Amino acid sequence: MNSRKLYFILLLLGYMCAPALSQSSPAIEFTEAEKEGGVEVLARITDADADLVSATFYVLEEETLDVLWTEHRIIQGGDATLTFFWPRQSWRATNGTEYVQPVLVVNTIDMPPKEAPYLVYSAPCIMELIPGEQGTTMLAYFDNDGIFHSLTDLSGNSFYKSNELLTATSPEASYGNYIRNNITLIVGVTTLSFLKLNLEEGLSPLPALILDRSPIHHYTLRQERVSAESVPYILEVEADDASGNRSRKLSKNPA
Amino acid sequence: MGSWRKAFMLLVSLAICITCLSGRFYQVTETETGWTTGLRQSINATVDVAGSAVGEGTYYRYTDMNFDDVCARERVAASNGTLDTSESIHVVATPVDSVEITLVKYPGTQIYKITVNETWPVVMASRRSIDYIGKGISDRDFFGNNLDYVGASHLYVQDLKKERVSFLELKNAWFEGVLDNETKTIISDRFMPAKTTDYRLRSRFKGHAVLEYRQAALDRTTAKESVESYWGSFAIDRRVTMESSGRNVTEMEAIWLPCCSYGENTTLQEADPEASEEVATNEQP
Repeated sequence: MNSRKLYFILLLLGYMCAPALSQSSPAIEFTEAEKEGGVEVLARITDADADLVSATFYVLEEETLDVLWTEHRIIQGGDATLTFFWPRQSWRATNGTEYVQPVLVVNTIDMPPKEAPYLVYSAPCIMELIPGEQGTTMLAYFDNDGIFHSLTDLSGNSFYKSNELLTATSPEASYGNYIRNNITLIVGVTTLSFLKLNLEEGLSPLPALILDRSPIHHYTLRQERVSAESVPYILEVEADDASGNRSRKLSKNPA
Repeated sequence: MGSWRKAFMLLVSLAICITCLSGRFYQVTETETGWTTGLRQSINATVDVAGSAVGEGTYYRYTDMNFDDVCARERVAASNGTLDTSESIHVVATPVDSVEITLVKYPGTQIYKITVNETWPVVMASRRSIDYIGKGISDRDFFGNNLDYVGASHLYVQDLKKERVSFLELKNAWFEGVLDNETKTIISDRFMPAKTTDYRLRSRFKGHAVLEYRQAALDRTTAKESVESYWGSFAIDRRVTMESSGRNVTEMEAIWLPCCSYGENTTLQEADPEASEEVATNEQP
């Protein structure tokens, strides 16, 4: 299990402060600056235990406290200076006919080089293979253009790979055979419910999207960026250390 | 004697047309009036096709099937794009039964009634799905069943998802011509096949689509037809079902036939015109 999945498991377990197992939590300071095309955040994170693990940048809609934008970084040691950038956009998911928003989408890290171009972003979701049956928590992966390339469960079991991803990882494989023998998703039946993250309510599922086009078309599932130009926002930086301490700092307190 | 001679000549003209044909096709034509069944042909066959294709590139498809006028035609041409298609076709044609041809003369007139009873059953069931996104695709299908037809065309479509299920069945066909051999005119020409045409289409597309169907009347004219044309982005969900029960013996026929249909059915080769002036039947080998 890589750090990306571990992070999501922690996220799904409650988006809450982890219990403090060591003496000190990371300290966070940040400033924001308006830049062309977005907002730049310069953050400094320090930790007396010098066991920092990761930092996550959130942009929240001020009125609803829904997360509009997320960026995740791996850090090490006891002092890290990071620059985050928010292009004043949020994410929405569409299956070609319907869309849901705001979707929790996070950049990936530590992906194998061959797969990395197709797994740039990930979004946690709940899959119902057949509607009404028990849902399974999954991670859907998208490339830089928002095209759907992979679906895995939290144990890493693959439920879908795109033709491009399969070709990159297994050049000799026939995609037709792969679809016939490996894909259990049912076109026109299986649904994915993406999640939204709220500062107060935590994670909650958005309305389900049906996968109604062929795998060769990536089920026409996409993550699209939508403008959040005029949305009042709150910035948040969160840091974790290896001891399980988590700290967060907001640009302003919610009303 | 004159009427007998004319009947004999009529039989001869029928015989010429029949005997030159072989077992799995025939055409009955009355040369004086031009009345004809048209060429009927079938084979004793089964066809099973199943499979799928997924990939990226260009695609072309040509399909043509015809069993006793139960026919299917498909033409697909796709420019560069991604395609996922699957299909199954099942056809059973069993033209094993004899074709019975009957000639009856109306007493006291030069009017004749020719009937052809054909029992060459055909069942054609097929389904196909296609899911295409690319530069453009034209997809046409046409299903005909003894003068009925239904079909859809999706033309110059860049994004097409289509599922089509069709079921065609021909149980038997009954031709009936009433001819005036004196004036050389066709008084009545009826074609009464027992048939079913069931067509289900679900498609979603951006471009142009045409859906059309036609159901024939007993006299071969159009009883019902429809053409629908779509430009733009549409989702179509249509089902067209057409059934004809075939020959339905009317009260008039029921009264008239027993009086004249004396004699046993015999093959044309065995028929003796002198023994039966007004009735002759034929069994096609």
